Amino acid sequence: MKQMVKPSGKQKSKPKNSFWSCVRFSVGTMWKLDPKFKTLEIAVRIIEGLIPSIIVYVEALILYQLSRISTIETFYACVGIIAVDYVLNLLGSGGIYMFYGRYSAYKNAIIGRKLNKIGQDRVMKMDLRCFFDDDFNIIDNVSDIGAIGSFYEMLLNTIESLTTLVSSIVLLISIEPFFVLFVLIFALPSFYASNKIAAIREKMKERVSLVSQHSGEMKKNVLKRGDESRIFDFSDFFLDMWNRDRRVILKNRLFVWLYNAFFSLLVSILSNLGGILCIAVIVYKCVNGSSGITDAALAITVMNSVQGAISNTSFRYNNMVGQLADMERYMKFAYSDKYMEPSGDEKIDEIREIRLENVSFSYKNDGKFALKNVNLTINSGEYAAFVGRNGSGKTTLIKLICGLYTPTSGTIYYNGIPHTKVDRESLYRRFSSLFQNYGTYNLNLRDNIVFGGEYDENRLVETGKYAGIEEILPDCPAGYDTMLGEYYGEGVDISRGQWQRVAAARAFYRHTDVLMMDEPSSAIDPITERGMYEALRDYGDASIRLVVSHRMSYMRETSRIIMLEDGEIIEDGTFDELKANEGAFRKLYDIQSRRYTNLKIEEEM
Amino acid sequence: MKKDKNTVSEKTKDKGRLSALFFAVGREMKYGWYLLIPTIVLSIVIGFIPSLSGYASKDIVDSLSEGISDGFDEALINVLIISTVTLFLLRVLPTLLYSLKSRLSDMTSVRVNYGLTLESKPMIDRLSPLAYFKKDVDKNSHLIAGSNGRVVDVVSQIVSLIGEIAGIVAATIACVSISPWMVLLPIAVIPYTILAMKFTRSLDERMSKLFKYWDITLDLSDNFSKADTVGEMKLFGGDRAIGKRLDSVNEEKAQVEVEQEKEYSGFFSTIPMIFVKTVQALAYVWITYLVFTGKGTVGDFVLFTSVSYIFSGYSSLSNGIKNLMATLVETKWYRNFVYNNDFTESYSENAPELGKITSIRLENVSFRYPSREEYALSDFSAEFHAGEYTAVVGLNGAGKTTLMKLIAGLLPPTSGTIYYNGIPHTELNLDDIRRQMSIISQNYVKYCVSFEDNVAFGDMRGVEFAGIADMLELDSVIDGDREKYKAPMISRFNEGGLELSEGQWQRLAVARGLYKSSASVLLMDEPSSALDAQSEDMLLSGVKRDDNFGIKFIVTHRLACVTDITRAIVIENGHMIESGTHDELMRIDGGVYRELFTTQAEKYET
Repeated sequence: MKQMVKPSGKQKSKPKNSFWSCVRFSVGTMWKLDPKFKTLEIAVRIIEGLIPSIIVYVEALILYQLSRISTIETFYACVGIIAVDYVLNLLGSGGIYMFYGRYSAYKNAIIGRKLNKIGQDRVMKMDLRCFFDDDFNIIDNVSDIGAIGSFYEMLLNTIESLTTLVSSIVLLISIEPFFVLFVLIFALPSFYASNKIAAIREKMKERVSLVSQHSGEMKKNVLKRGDESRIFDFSDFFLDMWNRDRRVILKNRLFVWLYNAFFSLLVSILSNLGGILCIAVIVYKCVNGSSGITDAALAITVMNSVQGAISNTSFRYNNMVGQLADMERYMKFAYSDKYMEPSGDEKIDEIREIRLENVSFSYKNDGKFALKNVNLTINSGEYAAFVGRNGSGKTTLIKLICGLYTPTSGTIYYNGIPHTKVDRESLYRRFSSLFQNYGTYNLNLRDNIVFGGEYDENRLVETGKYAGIEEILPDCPAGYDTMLGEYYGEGVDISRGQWQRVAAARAFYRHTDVLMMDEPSSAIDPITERGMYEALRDYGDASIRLVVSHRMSYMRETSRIIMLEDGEIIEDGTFDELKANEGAFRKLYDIQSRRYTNLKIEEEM
Repeated sequence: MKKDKNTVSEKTKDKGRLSALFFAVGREMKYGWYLLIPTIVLSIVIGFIPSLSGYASKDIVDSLSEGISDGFDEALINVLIISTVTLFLLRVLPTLLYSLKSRLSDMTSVRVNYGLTLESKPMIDRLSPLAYFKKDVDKNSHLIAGSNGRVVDVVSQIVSLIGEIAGIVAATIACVSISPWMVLLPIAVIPYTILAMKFTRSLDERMSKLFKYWDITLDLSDNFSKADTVGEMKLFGGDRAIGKRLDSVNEEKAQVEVEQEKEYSGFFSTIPMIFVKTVQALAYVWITYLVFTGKGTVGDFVLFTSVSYIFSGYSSLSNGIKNLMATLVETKWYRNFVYNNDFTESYSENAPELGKITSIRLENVSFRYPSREEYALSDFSAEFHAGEYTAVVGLNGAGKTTLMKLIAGLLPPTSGTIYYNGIPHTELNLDDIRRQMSIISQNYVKYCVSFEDNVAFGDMRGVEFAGIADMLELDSVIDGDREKYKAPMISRFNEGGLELSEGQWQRLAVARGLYKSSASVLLMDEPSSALDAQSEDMLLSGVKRDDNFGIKFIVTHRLACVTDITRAIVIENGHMIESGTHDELMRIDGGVYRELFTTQAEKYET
């Protein structure tokens, strides 16, 4: 696994350095992705930045020629200058337009994907608990990786404008060095001010972003699936809610605008003051007779371009600073150790025993425990069922066992090795699962089942039978190659029950030591359900099977039942023991079985 | 032959773009004309400013040269002072005008957006859910239905183009004042404009491809932002499979993007560039000649230098056109989806009134999804009366859910008739039918509003809500803190929002269905798939007791409801194969129902 962003524990501490660390980070990341292209890109940008100054330089040369005694030679000299400029321009821009455009379109698309992959790889290394932390909005953080790209793009823009600015200032120095000082005295504070404006503006925008996300989601809620909206006829209700959001957004936008308008006017006055004072000085000098008309014309022309470059640079710099907030958020995420999986180096080749010792778990670390003080040992060959009401902690428990969550306190031992010392990658390889919210991936049927494992056709067909895949195949015109999920006429849309069969086949296909199934048959018909439970029963005596289910009937086939209530194990034993026990399990079992057996009795009568 | 067909479709597509333009401008005028006019004026003024400041520079230089040769008098000094101050003001003014313009266009877009939302709402409400099944891009889904923002973009992009053109006109006027030949300067931008138009060829096709790739990429990437799929991918190493697919989709997307760029860059694209540069170089030579021969002043040269860049501003003009064309395509899609959809439901003022439904009769009803060839339900006939509670059973993919949607009036039969209280569905308004229906959907939506609103949608009737909350033990979902019923949900969209487990969300969806007491038919599609045995029992007993709904249906694989139901029907491959009471069905030797029931029940022997 390539891991581009090292969780080196380097905490970004001083906000003072944040700008430069952002620059370093984005440049570093982007250059690592494609050094050759990035070199070319920056060269192109610098050339593009020089072009406006070259034009001004040519104009200055012509003006200079015109001020000399008018002979036919000076005219030819002017034409010569224009011709040289013309040829240079054609070579530069022509090359850029012919090759660079196409090349960069392709490269940028590829780099964009690579960038996303960094973010995705990062998520794959994190404890799943990060999804439940409000302050650490993982979803935003992953998408913030795009900020690196945009920040880099804006950095390039700024560099381009800066090139123009510097080269035109060099020109200015050659005319009147004193002017440069004049321009900078006013321009620098304006840079500083525009930086501040942008930072504050972004903070205000951030406040609105949650509201706009909310309003966007509501729009989707109504539009996405017509069914409920038509039956419950709530589109008016959502319009009201949407309006409420809209008002909040509008108020904020007005505020942002007022702020922005006022300060950008101020900045504009500041940054233009220097230039206009220079022009006033040269005019004064002309009136005094200490300067000539050429000097004045030259000063005005060059000053025009310097002033343009200043406002351009400040505008682009402002944009770049605007991107800084997203960028900083991503860096905070990338450098944070908060949710990194504990990773030891003890490889697990086979799981023979799993032992939980005083394990407690809290999703948000807020004192609300999903599991409390769980002690449990599971050995090879056991077929254990977790039973309990909704929200009793069954799903949490199996996710803890396979290492997707890390215990808040307590230890899980795999073959006696504590979880902190276990190599995660090797641990995951020992598990196979069917979770309640299984993924429905936009892949073909084969990849949906094999899903990252080794492809073995016989096994695919063999294990597919356990989950009833052969009944899905008639709906798939291209067999196992059929793309699942309908996208613009490609692929087929299968029903929810059929998706669950695919997910079950995925779990059966993978041959591992521990097979976990969380509500494996919630949307599956009784016949397929029976087949699945039979497969689970006969899965292999050496492996551990863990099942979470509300189907009490199949519990009698398990070797052990663990009953949970409010995060604690309250009963633990075989089916017969627990049934004889007259406890919580017996109560749940009776509630369900009564519904079937009562009728049977009637029937027999 | 095939080629002909293509060109025809191309033409009609272009026509669509033109009418999309009229549509966008029309809506803009309707909802925000009083804001639009000042915006246009502002952008024209902004376009004129560079030329005006060119004039100010020229004034300064000309006055200076006059003063140097003839001596400075007071009038001349005044002119110099005024010109310098004017130049300063002209520099600062654009910032202010831009701010004003951005505010105005912001206000316009808000107004027009709001107007469009209100205008399109009844039309979107009237779209048959069938419209969402056909997944062609130009008739596609929520993405497009919600994209009325693009309509506003059309006009704002046109306004920017007007500004660009105003700038070119002003610069031309300025240059013509130097020499009449300069009237030829605007020619420089024409080839670029043509190139930009070339870009719009087969734009529809490319954009729909890009949309598709974009959609698939979003869908695949979404797996990395959900705890459940991330967990699954970790265990299976599935991120590699997903990554591989993402790579290949991205590669295809990049190819399309390069294809698009090819139209715009490459050898031929250099010709307009050469043209612009040549015209500009010639103009430079010409103006130098004029100054050299004394027909022009140095001031003229300064004026020319300060506006000449406008003619090389090809990128802004041609990019403006490119963006506008792309926006028009999206606007066209939006318009086709909302206004010209084949799946708009009819509504008749004279339809007979439908009170409480006491009987539903399906006569030879068949149904086929628009994107499929085979029938999901064929030749289905059945009758249901008030007081009946029917279980619909069958294997996965048999057509049970489709039947529920047909009865609910969510899907129109492809052939055959459904009679409600003896009135055929074709004579009734679908709204009236749906008003009598309540559903507990299999794919319930998790709405990002408060708990209460997820059930009541603003229509809170305390006593009824409390009754349902008691029955489903909803208090336990919110830890007994009833204030939380009013708190927002889903922390991704509401800070600190309440998060529920899957089973808890399902209880909420059940509550939603039961709460609609104005309905007379209850349709439940796997209402207990994620519920524990005790909650399931409570739900089923509650529904049995409920006498609010006259006709009840339950689609289920859990035959735990058999003690409650009055009859069961079995569906296989879109046909009804068995129907009757539990006892009747159990008597059929080799019957499907009997097999399903015994498979489940045999394990419960005491």
